[in-house]
Parts: sequence; C-alpha cells; structure tokens
Amino acid sequence: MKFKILMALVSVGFLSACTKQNATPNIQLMESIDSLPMTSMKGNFMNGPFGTVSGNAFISVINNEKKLILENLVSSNGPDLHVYLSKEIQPINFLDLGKLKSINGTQVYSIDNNVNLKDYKFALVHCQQFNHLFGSANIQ
Amino acid sequence: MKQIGIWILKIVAAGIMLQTLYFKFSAAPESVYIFSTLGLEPYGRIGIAILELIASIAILVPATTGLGALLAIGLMAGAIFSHLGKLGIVVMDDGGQLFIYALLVFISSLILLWINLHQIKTLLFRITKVKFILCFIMISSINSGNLKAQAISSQPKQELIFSTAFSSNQATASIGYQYHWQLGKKKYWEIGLGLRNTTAFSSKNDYITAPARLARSSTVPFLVVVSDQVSQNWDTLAVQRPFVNMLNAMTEIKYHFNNKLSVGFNIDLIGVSFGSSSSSILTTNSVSKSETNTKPSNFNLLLTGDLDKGSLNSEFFVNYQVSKKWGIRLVYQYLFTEYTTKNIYQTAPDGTSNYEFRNKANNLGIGLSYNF
Repeated sequence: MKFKILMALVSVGFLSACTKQNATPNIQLMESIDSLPMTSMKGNFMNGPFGTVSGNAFISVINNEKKLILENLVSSNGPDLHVYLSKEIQPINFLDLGKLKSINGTQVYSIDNNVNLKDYKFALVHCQQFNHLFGSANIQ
Repeated sequence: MKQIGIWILKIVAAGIMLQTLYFKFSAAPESVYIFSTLGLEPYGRIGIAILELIASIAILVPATTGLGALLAIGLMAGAIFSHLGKLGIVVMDDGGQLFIYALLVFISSLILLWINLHQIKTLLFRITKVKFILCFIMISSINSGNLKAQAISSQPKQELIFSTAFSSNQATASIGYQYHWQLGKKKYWEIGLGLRNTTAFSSKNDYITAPARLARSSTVPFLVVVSDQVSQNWDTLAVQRPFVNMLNAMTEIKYHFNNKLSVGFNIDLIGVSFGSSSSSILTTNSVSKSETNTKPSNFNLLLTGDLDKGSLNSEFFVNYQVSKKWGIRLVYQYLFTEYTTKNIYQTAPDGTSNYEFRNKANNLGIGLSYNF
C-alpha cells in the first residue's frame, strides 16, 4: 500500500513538474486601433509549407507609432507561433513582434519605432522553435 | 499455436510503441503538438517515450512480459483518456490513426498481462521481502551512525556517481567515474579525480555573450568571478532546442563528518562537447537574425568564471551512506553550456565579432554514489 502511495506521489510530482503550455490560444480576438491607418501598406496571407494561414496584414502609422494589424486572421495551430516582420520570406533578418496572440481574429502588434519599414516586406506567422513557416503576407 | 498468438500480440504492442518513439525523440511537429496541447512539452514527451521504450523491451523479453504489459496499459490508458478529452480522437487530420494504435496496444497488453499474471504476483512477493531488508538497513544504520571516523577505510577507492538535476526549463543527467584518496591523519578529507559525462537538454533557452573580454570588466583568472558584469556588451542568442552532451575530466573534494555523512564539491576541468545543431535567433536592438546550424562549442576548459571555454558541470552535494557501498546525495548543480554560431554573430561595441554564447543554469537534483 505504501509502495502504491509512493508511486502515486512520484507520478503526480512528475506530471506537475512539467506542465508548460506552448500552443497558441484559439479565442476569437477583435482588437482594434483608435483611428484609421495612415498608410496603405497591405498584403494577403498565403499558406507556408507547414501550416495554413488566411487573412490580411497591414501596417498603420498613427502619431509616429507603427503597428502591424492582422485582420480576420485564421491560422492552423502549432507550437511556439510568433509574428515576424521579415526581410525574407524564410526569416533570416526579421523583427520578432511577439507570440501570436490567437489563431483566430483581428489583432494588433507594436513595431519598434527606429525600424525602417521599407526593408521588411513580409509579415509572417512562424513556428520559432522548429523554424517552420506557417504563412506569409507580402506587404506592398 | 498459442505461442504464435502470444508473439503476434507482443509484436503488435511493442512494434506500435517502438515506431512512434522515433517521432517523440526527434520532436516531430505532431508529437510536439500533442504534448503542447496536454501541457507536457518537452519533459512529458521525452519521459513518456522513455517509459514506452522500457515497456516495449519488457514486453519482448519473456521473463518480464507481464510487467511490460502492465506499464503499457498504464501509458495507453493515459493516451486514450487524452484522446477522449483534450486532444480529440482525430489529431492533425490523422483520421483517428493514433487513437486506434493506442487501443490496439491497450488490448494486446491487457491479454498479455492476463496470460502473465504470475509475474506480477512474484514481483509483489519480492517487494514485501525488500521492504523488510530496507527496514533492517535503516535500523542498523541508526546504530552505526555514531561510529567515529576511524571506520573510514584508508585504501584509495573507486567510485561511480550518478546524478540528475532540474530547473523549470532544463533537465540534466550525469554519470561519473573517479578514483579518490583520503587526506590528513584523521582522513576527514578526500580528493578525487575522474571522468564525467553530462547530458543537458532544455526548452528554448537564452545564451548570453560568453567571452570574458566582453562580458566582464576583468580577465584575470579567479578575479574574473567577482569582477563587474558589463551588461551593455551582452547580446542574447535564443537557442531553440538546446541539447549538449559534455565529456570532461573532473575533480572532487569531500569532507566527512562521520562515516555516514559527507559534503563536497566537484567541477569539470577539460574535455569535449557534442550535440545536435539547433536553430537560433540573435537579437540586437529589437532586430533579429536567425540561422539553423548553431552547435555546442566543441572544446571545454576550466579557466574560472567567464574565462571558461565550452560546457562544464559543477555540483555541490551532501552525501549520505545508506550502506558500505551505496550513498544517496542531494545535489545543487551549477552548469555552464556554450553554443557557437556559424553565420550570425554579434558585433561588439569595440568592433570585434563574437560567435560564442553561454547559458549559466542553477539546477537542483538527486544522485547516487557507489564505492568499489
């Protein structure tokens, strides 16, 4: 009996020691910005080799604050999905705008102010841990 | 005829588990997705894969088929419940294939357990016997714990040490082999020299600019440890899937309070590292660069503090001798691991390029020692 209790405790300890969420949430997001974007830099998402992504990406500059807006985004889920603004479609030189907030809905990401946006043509949904491209939008 | 049937069941159960191991150990996206969904990534994935490997081997060995089947039943029950709950029966458009596999292994194992139930009964009988022996050892150790240091033998000894240590995002395992000699008249002190292999893996981890000329205000050996950290020179390399294996010469120093209890410290001196290449991301002023072939630095050398090269393990420990040969230990591990980039590099403020990045980890763990 003691042996069983010990084994149960060991297995509970084992399970609780390694609970770490990695997948992206799938709640419907409806983030918005206060006023209309000042630029018309825009692109549609296309599927990458490792996932399916649809929706629009556009860049807004309001009061000198740069933002990337993903509109009506729908993405397949995966581990460690991030949003990049990248010079290449396979990211080598890029800005990591953070983890993808949700695989579903409209969402807003801040861009560092000192960045020259002309260099970064692609908005990407990228699985960072495995270096897998899920989807890309060529922003023009 | 019955024998053939049993072997078919064994091959179904062990075969299915073994062929999925490759995907688990190589971190295939499907496996990572499953264990991320369950909140068990990465330790659950690797831990369960190891348990499945043990179960498969045990099922195939006739003397342990029942035990292997029992373990497999436990694992598959977990898998089936996960499919019925969080995961769903169809995972990543597989048409329920994984769920059916889990059911097949579960049913085969159930039959194998039924046929080999006598093995479990024998084991339970043995456990009862071991309990008595353990009680006996504990009682006798309480009595002999008061003996003075004269009981410590004066012969040079050989020792095997195992340890495993963890932090929130890293797990390590090490095995060492050393000779050790007793010092001083009363032989309270011991010094050892040997070889140790340490394996460390972690989820995504940050590696910081390694060379002391950039990271610290002094590069004088020993002084470097207490010198100021020059954090404006630091860049961060995020290694996506770190896995470092280091084989190093090591030294150990130990102090005996009595013939049961001792404390000590050991540290790696020189050796080599190897490990799989990982993708990594170097970020400077919010601009990132990535490459796919960052590897652990090959050469390890202890030069104190940030002057160190490569990956080195060190441990503080408290050892308690449960018998003449076996000791158990609590371990505090301070582990350096180092990665060298290939195409991407840091341009330091002094204009030099840096390709070496280091992670310093504090881990807690347990260990075993065995004296020859």
